[in-house]
Amino acid sequence: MFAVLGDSFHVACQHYDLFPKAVGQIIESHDVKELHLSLTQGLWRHDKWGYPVRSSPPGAELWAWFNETPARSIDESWANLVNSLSGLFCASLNFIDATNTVVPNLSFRPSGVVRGDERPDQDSVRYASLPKENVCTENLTPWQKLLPCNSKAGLSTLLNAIRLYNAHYHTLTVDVQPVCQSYPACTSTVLRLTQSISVVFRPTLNAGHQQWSLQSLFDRPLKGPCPLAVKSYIHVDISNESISLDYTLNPPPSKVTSDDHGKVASYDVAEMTQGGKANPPTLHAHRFIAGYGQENGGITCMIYNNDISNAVDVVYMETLPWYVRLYLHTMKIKTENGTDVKPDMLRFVPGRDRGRPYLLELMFTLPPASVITFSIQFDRAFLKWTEYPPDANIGFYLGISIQKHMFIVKVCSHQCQFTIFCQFYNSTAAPRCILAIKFKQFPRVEQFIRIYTEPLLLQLPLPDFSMPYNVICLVCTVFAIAFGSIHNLTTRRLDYEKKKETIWMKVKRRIPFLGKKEKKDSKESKEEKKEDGRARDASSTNEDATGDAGRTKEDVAKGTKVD
Amino acid sequence: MGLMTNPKAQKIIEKVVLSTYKPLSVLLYIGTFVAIVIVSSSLFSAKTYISENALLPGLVEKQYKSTSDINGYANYLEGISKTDDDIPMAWLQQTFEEIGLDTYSQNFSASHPFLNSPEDVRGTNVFAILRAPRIAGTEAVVFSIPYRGKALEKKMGSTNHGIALMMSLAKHFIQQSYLSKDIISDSRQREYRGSSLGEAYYDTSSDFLAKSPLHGRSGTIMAAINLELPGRRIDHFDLRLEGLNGQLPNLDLFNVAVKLCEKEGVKATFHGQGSLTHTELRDNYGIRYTSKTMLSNMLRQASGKPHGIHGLFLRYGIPALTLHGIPSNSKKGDQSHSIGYILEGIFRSVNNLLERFHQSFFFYVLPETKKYVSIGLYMIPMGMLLVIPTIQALALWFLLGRKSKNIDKDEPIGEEPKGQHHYVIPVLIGVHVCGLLLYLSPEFFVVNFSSYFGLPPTEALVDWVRSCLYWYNLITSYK
Repeated sequence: MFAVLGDSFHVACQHYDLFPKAVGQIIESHDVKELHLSLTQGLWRHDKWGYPVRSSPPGAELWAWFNETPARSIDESWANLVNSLSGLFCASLNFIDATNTVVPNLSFRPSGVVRGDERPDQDSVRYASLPKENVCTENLTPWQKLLPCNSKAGLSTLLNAIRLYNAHYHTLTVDVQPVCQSYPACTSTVLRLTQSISVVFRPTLNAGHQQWSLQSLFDRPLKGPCPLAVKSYIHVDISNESISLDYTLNPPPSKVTSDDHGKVASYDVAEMTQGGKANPPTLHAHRFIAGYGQENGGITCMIYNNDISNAVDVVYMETLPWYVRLYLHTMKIKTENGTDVKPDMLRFVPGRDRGRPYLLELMFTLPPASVITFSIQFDRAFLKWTEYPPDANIGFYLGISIQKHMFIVKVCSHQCQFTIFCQFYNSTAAPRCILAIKFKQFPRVEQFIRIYTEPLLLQLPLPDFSMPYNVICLVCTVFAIAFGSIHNLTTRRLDYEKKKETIWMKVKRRIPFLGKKEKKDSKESKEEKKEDGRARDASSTNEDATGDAGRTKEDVAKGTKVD
Repeated sequence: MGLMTNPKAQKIIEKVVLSTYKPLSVLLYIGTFVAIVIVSSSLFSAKTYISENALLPGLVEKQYKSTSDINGYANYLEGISKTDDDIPMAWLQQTFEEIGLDTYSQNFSASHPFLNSPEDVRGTNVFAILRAPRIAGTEAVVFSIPYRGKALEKKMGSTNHGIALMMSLAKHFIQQSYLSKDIISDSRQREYRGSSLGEAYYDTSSDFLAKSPLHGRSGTIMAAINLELPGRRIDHFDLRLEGLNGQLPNLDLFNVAVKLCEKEGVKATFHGQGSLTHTELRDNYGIRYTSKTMLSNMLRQASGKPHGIHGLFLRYGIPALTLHGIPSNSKKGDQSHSIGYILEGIFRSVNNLLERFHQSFFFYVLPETKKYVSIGLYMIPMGMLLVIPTIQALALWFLLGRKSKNIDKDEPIGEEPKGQHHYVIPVLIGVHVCGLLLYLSPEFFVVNFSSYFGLPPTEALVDWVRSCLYWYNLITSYK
């Protein structure tokens, strides 16, 4: 995690030193109050790894708060911001548009300082995620360029792309938020840019040992801090030292407690070296698609609360694209024994075809030591054929759902003044601080843990794209041949005719010198037909029927009919 | 369509149909069988090919190394399965967890729709999910192996070596960084009767299957491979495709398996038939083998019964096949290496897929492992068979028209008296009684008679249908 305070960032002077100009300009020109971007590959497994330092969903996620200005609408600023960031980070963020942007009401609060008693205006937040976004070196390079030392010196030299992209999970994040310039007297605010990278290596990859070193993890050594950095730490979480003593840290840490001094190595707290299976944290979730086939289905999310004594308040947010047509009346929230849980709050924004995604926000309480199953049914829409992506057969990615878990952090020890993320362990309710990285100015009493669930791959009903040509040809031919005649057969009324006129008689009637004898007869038959509308139909049917057999050229030329 | 309304043309058709329908039907009937046999010959069946470019079977370097622990696992399982019927759940779970897989188990009990309680089937399935590093758990491949235990092993052969190989492969795959699909290892008890993975995975409910909830899943299942490996040496692999109600997996999956078996020098067969050489096919006897294979393939599909556990996956739109190892007579040598390579290759090919299997054929019959008959070809004999009832019906229609015309003109042609309808009455009654009994039979008959005659429920039902047909014949022949 790298943090830069915009102390010297002054809007009026357009003067930047450590704060990257690229970010500063984007923030300024789009009236952004706060910005949170994450680019992630893989899924954070909460049940195995505990809580992340910064939660982020697979793919790209972007949310931002805007200052209201009369000059531009927020939607306009959002669109511009998305495109600027897309260029800055070489990511396909430009696929964010009105169809996947939502305005969440409950799930997001500004994480920076809010001036005075001013309540954040919930309409000025925009949220979007792209679960399919792939993250690779082309995103890492611009991200590294924002750092004061780039990748030339300091901790960022460890970021070896080959090793990072072989890891099981990695995420790049950029957070910009206002913080107090001085604490506790918060007279003015400055912007703070926090860049973080999270990587999960599999320590057992190294020949079955759980031994690791910076060299083995990153394939390069650390030579020293970035000269521009005020602080540069490596924290190792050894909170379980008292429980299991079967590991040693070599070289010994400079300080066991985190300190403001020292260049490197203040080994602190973590679970990485713990052998066997880690206990799952208090709250984790598992989401999946229920049902099969291409017509309908459901989304089920199992939310686990492992805390024996405490109930946990949870905000659940689900956003689904419009082609997953949710039915709110099918929503069920149940405990293990099948009793219903009534949500304390519910907000549902139905989707609009080709315009707006579905948004469901719920707030409910998880009883202690329980598994809550949330389920909702949907229909799979049949898209227009041009709306399918080129690789339609893989399915459609559905974004993550987000649960937010609220708890209070006790200000416990001297470490905690830096603490932003604390963790419950499954048997006790007492929070323990795991990583003390944040700055002094920013102690907060109320904290959120955001948990992202698995992205899903949904199969929609799909036309056979493999042989469209054959199918179209065949169908058109069949229609062309069958339609006319079947239509003719089914819509005409057939009736008996009193007198039948053979082709020969017809021909004779048309040609004067042959038809003299027949004239009287044909006149009679004409009169009869005029009387009876049915007969007219019948005769023309007859004409059709015999038409193929041999109508003379003259018939066609005159265009005459029997009547 | 003008042809149909034109009375003159109608008369011609009528004449032709009435004069030829009897010999034509017989001819078509015989012709159908001849055509099916001919279609299977090398002249008509085309060579199989891999249609999906992404699969690239056997293109990558073989990396799997079978280790000594494979024998340890197999010996342990063999020891257990000699004495016990139940799956060694704790051991399986522990072993998978040690390898580094997320392991979940699920209990189930299946009951019979009609029979109450006496034959409830209980069992446990163990799922172990290898989380692929390249993906956020959205796609998966299933590697399933039935665990048979003492009683079933005698009947169907052992699969313990397969489970050992599955563990060894999991150990290999977990160290690879290229996996972009989770691999779900699924050890399943009780074969078909047990809870199918799909039931649990998609959380569908059934009145006859009680199951504990599954606490972990992966994403969309792209393919499933079922392995039945009797020992460390096999004579050949018999590939089994037919699923529930005759459903087939995508032909590409089968082709990949055949190609990799060939590459590793393990013979692959389909219904006991391996690939034939060019001269064998040209030979007059070639057609004997190909038609036999094709007909047994069709027969298996017609029976509706799956030819292995893989058949249950097809129901959920997951292409799946069974690699059934035929035990070898010679005891020397160990083929774990080459079998491991085959499976590594199949998983790597499927891992390469960018989309679901959709390129190749879903409707086909196979005369041998390297030839296929596509739907366009085998529908010709099928069409010939369907022409017969059409002609017969047409002929009956025309005859009816003739009769009524004759009656109108008061010129009776037949010897039948006016009240000639009485002869249909016994047939009518017979048919209705049979229909009623058939409708009621499954429950009534299975409950009452299977215990009385000591028949298993499935056979009792079949016997009941047979006896119904017999009675129907008796009644109708009585007239």
